[in-house]
Amino acid sequence: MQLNGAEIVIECLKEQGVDTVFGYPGGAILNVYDELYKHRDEIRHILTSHEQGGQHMRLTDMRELQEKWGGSALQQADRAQQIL
Amino acid sequence: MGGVCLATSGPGATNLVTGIATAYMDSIPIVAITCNVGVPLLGKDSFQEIDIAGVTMPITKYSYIVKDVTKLAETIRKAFRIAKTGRPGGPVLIDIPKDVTAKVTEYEKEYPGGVYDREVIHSEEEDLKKAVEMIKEAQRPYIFVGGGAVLSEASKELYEFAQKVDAPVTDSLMGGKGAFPGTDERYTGMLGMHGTKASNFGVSECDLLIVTGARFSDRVTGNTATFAKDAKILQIDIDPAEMDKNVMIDLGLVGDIKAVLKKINEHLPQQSHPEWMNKIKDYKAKYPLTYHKDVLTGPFAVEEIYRQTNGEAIITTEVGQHQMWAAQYYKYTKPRTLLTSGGLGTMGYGLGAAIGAKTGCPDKIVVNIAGDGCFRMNMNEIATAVRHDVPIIQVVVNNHVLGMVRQWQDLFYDERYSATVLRDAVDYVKLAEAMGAVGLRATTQEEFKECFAKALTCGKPVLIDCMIDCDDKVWPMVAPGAPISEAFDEQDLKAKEN
Repeated sequence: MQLNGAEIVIECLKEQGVDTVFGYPGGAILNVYDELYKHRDEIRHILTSHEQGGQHMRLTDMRELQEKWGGSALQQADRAQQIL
Repeated sequence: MGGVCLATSGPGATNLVTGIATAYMDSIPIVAITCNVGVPLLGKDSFQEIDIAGVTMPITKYSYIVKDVTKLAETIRKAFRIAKTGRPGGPVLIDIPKDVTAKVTEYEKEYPGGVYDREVIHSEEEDLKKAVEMIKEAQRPYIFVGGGAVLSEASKELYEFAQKVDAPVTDSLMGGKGAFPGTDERYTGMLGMHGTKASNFGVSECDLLIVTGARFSDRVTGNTATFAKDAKILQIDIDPAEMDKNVMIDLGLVGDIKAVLKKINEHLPQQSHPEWMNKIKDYKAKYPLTYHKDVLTGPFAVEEIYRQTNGEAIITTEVGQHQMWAAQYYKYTKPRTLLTSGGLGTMGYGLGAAIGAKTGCPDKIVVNIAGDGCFRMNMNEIATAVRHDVPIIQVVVNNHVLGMVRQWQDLFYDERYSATVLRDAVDYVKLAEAMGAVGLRATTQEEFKECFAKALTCGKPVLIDCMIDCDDKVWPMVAPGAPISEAFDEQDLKAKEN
């Protein structure tokens, strides 16, 4: 399948089971945001007021999900996806 | 698997730096993706160009600029792998020039393979045996739990271990909180600068200190020359670089804490130290945490939050006095229920952290306990919580000063309050309302109770402006660089003055 770089970023995030991203758009990253728009049903984007705020959100979202799923969530996600 | 952080080039990317450094210090897995100017414009001081992969090199596990689109997918996969393996957690950054995001290449879907075994032990069997012997020989053992125990999800093994060793348990601020239940009778409170006297005195008197996943930060050890001076130190950590780094140890076990504890539990017969345990129990009874009970204070607010949430909330904090009160007065019984910037000490961490936590765990009550100084760092994210309908509770413990710095000015700089007074016209209730959140103000204990009860039921982002006195302090305290056995509190200071 032929994809451009921005599409590959989105596909790779989906491979990893990512369903939420935090961020802030700008000139250089416009292609990626354009793809995010097309995939907005699959990946939720939370627009922050400042990139630093987004970074801290990102930081805990990962921790919390690990707690939420118990065990080693990341491994389980890996395993589940392998089965799929 | 959670979200990812995206930012554009230049200032977008540099605004991530503090967050990345925060994650690096606390070993938290994150993936940051930034885009840069196109490859032909790199190195020409182009508009919004910065070498973010270079900037973040010393504060990431891996940072990379992808200039070839055929390498993009494998780089992203590698980044996720690195973020998750080895020392668990840590940030990675991938920078992608804009033209690479437009170039086309062959892509094939590939789900993350190679499920890795996290429960590894690198130390030899011989060292495990030595550790068991050390524990058997000890008369006054103490267990010190760090954030590594949380990352390794070792709570169950740790609990069994503490019973077997028959030892008291203390912890660090960073994640150690909740790995061992704060309600258990073995738990003696935090260690170090704002730890309890029971923990600081106990560790100073123990003959074996067993450390799980902590790095002996200066905030924990005080003067390292006198730290646990009568004790042998047995350290368990996944990262051999932690051994003999800040404190010289007697035996190090390198491996996943959960796996190592499981192994020791198998081989260690039940120990019994009734006399020692009684001594620590007496310390706990003699030196409880205390605060002024008749007015609204930070500790009161934290205890009230504990009561009204039945200890089930996720607490996030900023950095300073309120952070210490949140660590001291809320009893954490599960790991990852206190989210705080333990290593870097990042003011402005908490509000974003709360929004992230609530996004990941929408069914949990999430409270960010902040000081007024810290809240100002990233308070614009209240607007984010409102826009994305993330009903977090923001408590601003408002003393109109930079309380922790002021506390040091009080104690060590003859009350010269240089640049720590924030008295101005900022009205946090109006500010919350201006961003579409609910704003409430509490000036008494009763008002705080009512405000918090209201916050729990209103289903919207809420800010509570919790007014406290500017002279409230965090007790006990160990002066920076002093032995932890010299922890003092308000009564000690008064006694000294008389």
